[in-house]
Amino acid sequence: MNAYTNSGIPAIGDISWGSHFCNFFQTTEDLEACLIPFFKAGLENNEKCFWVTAEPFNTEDVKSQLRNALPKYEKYIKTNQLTILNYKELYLKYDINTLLKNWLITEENALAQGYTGLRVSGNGGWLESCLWSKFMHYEDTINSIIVNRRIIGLCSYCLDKCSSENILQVIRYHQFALIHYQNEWEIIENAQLKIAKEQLLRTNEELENHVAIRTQELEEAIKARDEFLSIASHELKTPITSLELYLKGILRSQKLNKLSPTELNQKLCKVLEQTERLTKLINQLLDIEQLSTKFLSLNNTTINLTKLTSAIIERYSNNNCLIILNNTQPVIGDWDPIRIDQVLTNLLANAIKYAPQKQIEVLIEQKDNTAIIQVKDQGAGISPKDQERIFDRFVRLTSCHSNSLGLGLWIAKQIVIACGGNIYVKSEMGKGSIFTVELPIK
Amino acid sequence: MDRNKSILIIDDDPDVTESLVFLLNAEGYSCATSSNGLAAIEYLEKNPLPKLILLDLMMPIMDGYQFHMVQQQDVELAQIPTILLTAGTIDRRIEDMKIANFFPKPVPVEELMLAINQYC
Repeated sequence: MNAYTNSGIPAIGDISWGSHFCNFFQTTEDLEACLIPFFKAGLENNEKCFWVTAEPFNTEDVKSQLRNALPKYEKYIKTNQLTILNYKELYLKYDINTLLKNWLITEENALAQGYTGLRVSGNGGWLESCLWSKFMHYEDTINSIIVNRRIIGLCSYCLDKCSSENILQVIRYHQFALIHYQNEWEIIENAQLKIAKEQLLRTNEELENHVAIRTQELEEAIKARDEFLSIASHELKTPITSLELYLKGILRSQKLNKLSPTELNQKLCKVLEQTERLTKLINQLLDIEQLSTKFLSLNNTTINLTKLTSAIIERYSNNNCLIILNNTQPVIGDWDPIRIDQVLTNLLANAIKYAPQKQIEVLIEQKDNTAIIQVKDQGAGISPKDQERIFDRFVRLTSCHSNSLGLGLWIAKQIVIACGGNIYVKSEMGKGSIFTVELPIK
Repeated sequence: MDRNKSILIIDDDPDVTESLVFLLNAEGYSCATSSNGLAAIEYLEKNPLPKLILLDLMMPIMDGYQFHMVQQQDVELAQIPTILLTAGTIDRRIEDMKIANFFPKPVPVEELMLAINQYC
């Protein structure tokens, strides 16, 4: 169901259900210019309509006016969609509470009968000064009871019959006032409503900004994911390709008796290398899933960081690279050895990849309650712009076959964060980079 | 290099080139390798032309697309049949390339061998 309905009054346009506004008039023509289109729009929108007449109109005037304006007037009257009655039949018959309750019951019945809402207009022409304050209380109460209902109310007041105090009261107890003055429509908004509307506009604007930011973030995330999928599939396909080529080559050579046992052994080692390359990639892929959930379970046990590092360096010893460990003092703490191994391996693998055949220094030390690991390479260095993004997911500083998914440093960072630690890089172009990991000793 | 069964492999992944060379040698072809488009052009300037080129697309320095453009501008090089091998997503650009055949990685080995056999 629509939150708005057409007021029929061009100066206002659509208004929200629950609106309660007023109209000041001076001449009968002013009042007609407002009320005839108001009811016409309501009836055409299948709303139940009540016109409570008072001076300067009587019910007969109103009926003939409407009959002229509405081709289906007789039908509206016959079906009781439109009711025209004199104020005496209503305001003088019931007390305020009964009146208010009746409007709500009328709305419920109207909705049950299939009408889209209830449209009511009354006219204060009958009000004597002694009744003003009582009637203003009625007007005030209407605001709060119809706010969430499918009711709109338009109250007309004759300017010439209102004192300035009356005018101020009428404006206060309606959401806005409409004045037909010198052939122009003027709208005076209730100050509180104006503030609320402005706030709503601001809130909407903020909301739209939030949505725009979130949409952009999502688009970037989708782009990063697509790029990742493309890189991941490329990286997975490459070792499978050479694996298959080696195996076919072995079979073919065997068939032709071309392969010596030594050569066969050599080729099988190549096959093994390719499966290791695949295993590494797949493990990284599995890690993203675990690390992306932001909760990494650590199996902490007391370890000597120096000893662990030394063992990792040992693994690289026959890998055509020179890694020096600058400490023999034990640094003892409670960490997950598998995860710390992963952090160090990723840092060392990067150093070897980006600074091949150059010396790599590893420093382990303890400062108060913090263990510090530094991996220092003599590579080309990382530009300040790249330094900002290297710990992000799917970032690779070289294109094409770099044999990686761009996940190594991101994984290292997630692990270090899970340990309550910190990881950062200092780098100078042309001189090399120092990656530092700080781990709290618990 | 045996001119009649000579192939130039242009690919930046050493594992792929090494395994391709191994298989092609076993099949009786002789191979040369270049790790990017520019290195291949330098090789082609200095050596007898191969019967066939196996070309990867994603490579540093000069990729497969750029190599193909240079190749097409040279009357002699343009005549060497070229088979594309790529593990990446297929770009619309390959529609405009004058290539003998195209295989995604992992390469369907039997089909690749049949295709190679057509040209040398």
